[in-house]
Amino acid sequence: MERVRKEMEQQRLWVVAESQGEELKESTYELLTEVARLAAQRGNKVMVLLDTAGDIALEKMAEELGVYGAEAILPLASAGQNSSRQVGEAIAALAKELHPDAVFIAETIWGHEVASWTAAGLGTALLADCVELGLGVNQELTMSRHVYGDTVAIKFAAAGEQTLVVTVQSGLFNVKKSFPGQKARLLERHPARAGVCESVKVLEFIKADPKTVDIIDAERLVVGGKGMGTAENYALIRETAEVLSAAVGGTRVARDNGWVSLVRQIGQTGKTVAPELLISCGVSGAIQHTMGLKETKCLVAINTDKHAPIHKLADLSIVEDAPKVLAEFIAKMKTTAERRQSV
Amino acid sequence: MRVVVLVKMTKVIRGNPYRTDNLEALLNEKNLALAVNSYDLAALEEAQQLKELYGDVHITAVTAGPESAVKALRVARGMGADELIWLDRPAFAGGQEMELARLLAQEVSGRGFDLVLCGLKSDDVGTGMVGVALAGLLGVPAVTRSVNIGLQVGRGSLRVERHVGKGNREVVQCPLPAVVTVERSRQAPRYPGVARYLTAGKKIVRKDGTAGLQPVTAPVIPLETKKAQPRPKKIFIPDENLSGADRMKMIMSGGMARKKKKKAQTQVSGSEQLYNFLLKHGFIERL
Ligand SMILES: Cc1cc2nc3c(=O)[nH]c(=O)nc-3n(C[C@H](O)[C@H](O)[C@H](O)COP(=O)(O)OP(=O)(O)OC[C@H]3O[C@@H](n4cnc5c(N)ncnc54)[C@H](O)[C@@H]3O)c2cc1C
Repeated sequence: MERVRKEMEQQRLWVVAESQGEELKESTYELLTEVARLAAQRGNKVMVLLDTAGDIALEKMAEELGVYGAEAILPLASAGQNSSRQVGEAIAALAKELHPDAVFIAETIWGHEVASWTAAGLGTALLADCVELGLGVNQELTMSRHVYGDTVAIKFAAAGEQTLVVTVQSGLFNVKKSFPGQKARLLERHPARAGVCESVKVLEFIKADPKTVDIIDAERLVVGGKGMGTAENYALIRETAEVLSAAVGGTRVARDNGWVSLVRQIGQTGKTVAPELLISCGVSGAIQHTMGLKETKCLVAINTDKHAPIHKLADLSIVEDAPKVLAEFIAKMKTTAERRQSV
Repeated sequence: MRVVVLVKMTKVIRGNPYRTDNLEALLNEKNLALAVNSYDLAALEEAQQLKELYGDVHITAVTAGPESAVKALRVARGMGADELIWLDRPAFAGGQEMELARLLAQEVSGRGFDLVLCGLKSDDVGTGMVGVALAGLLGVPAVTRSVNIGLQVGRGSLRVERHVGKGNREVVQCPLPAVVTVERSRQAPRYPGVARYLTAGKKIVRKDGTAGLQPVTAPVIPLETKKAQPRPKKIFIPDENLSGADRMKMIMSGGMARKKKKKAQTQVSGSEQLYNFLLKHGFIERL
């Protein structure tokens, strides 16, 4: 045990991995790539801490994570349900003993919670939602985070001996296999159990219903603007949303016309959405509307005016009559579904 | 049931924050307005919902900070809080979350509680760790990101719906006493009643918020403050598995997607384009 501790003390930078079934999340690889880059510059080693509650094959993972820069892997044996507190408190206890320079976690719901419990356990501050990592003049770690609703960036530098607890936004770094041939050492399993949180029991899981979900949370959206023309045409928006399991959104003009309610309006005086897919129909793309779209991953715009600003943002631009496109699309989806049933 | 709600004022930049690049002007006191933290309003609403649903709920609102923090208590009173506690002390700076959590833990455990509600995080510089740290210090279970809080039969435990991303919810059972951080209330927070808001001053109990606390040294020092750049997106690099010629093509076109987009506009009908695009990106399945 003593030898293992000694070895673990050499790992100055820790990365907490998050699993999803048998895999690790993409954000874990992004973060590991970036932290490994810093570690190489500072002459440090990286240890990945991994909650084993998922169906992860540890041996395989050790082989795989090495090439991204992990030197060692520490499996944490949590009880599964509600694991963030168990994992966070276990990491804090370990960090108290081994004094790493920093613990990095990708900013997700689970990651944020693990980080909070880790920071609380260490009695230190949490550097949440950072957008940039780097090194200062004396090789000390630096990180930037945005405050005041993403308008102001503050850059911090590590000061003193305390272990930093840092969460980093996902989607910022490229994943890269910078250490070909490297294989991570698999360390002995470490228990991660905290008594008090086991009293919280998960009763059920409620899947979001696209019809009732808050548009802020919607994974897919079909949005209609003034270009839909009439309330009857707007029904096509709802129908398209239904065949795609998407939620319905609207512009302010759509709301003024009574086609959607205020809770479905997107933009400056409405909501900011973050869907994987958004189909925008008969929307010009006024700035007051598009500022609510900035987190959208994939945008399809259907607008008869090929100079409409919405087309500049789109991944697919369709310059055609929106009601016609939607009606045809719905018909096509329906015949496909029927054929599928008959097969 | 004794419910404690933690509330605070947050700083918001007045007007459009993108109007100027001059950071000093933007963060000038004159340009900053104070508002009650939006998540705390949701917590107050949930507390009031519990009172209306189950009766016999005593709500205490607690805030820590300078004179300006008192407004949060007035709003809390307007929304139905029974008791108001002001822990008078200078404003906390970023990085002092643990000190704040200790101060609140001292107050809350001193008065006794069944449930502590707080906002998920603060709107301005929040890291969302105070609720969690408080639960740790009090040694009680915590449930984060609640969107709907109810009591189980027998009232010894809570039934909490919590948001677990993309609108999905998880229902958990949690024994009392506990700390719950609130992401949303089941209905929009009510407007504070004017009469109660105006007479709240008489109800406020001022306490010294500096007594018996050890200062916490922040683990970092701020180096510089600047205007935030729009979030950088991942830099585009072509897939390593492509042939040399394809990679070159991809670099010159800035990605296949853009090229396809232009071409597609001419031949196929709009609905076909839409269908093919959704198919290609995995949003719908082939027959
Ligand atoms: C202070 C302020 C706040 C605002 N806040 C918001 C907000 O939060 N959200 C919001 O949405 N707006 C907001 N607005 C309004 C905003 O400026 C725009 O007026 C609004 O977004 C335009 O909505 P629209 O795209 O539906 O309509 P329009 O701008 O009228 O666009 C209609 C589009 O439909 C196209 N079109 C017409 N016929 C067809 C057809 N048959 N098929 C396909 N396309 C067709 C046209 O080419 C046109 O581009 C705000 C404005 C102000 C001043």
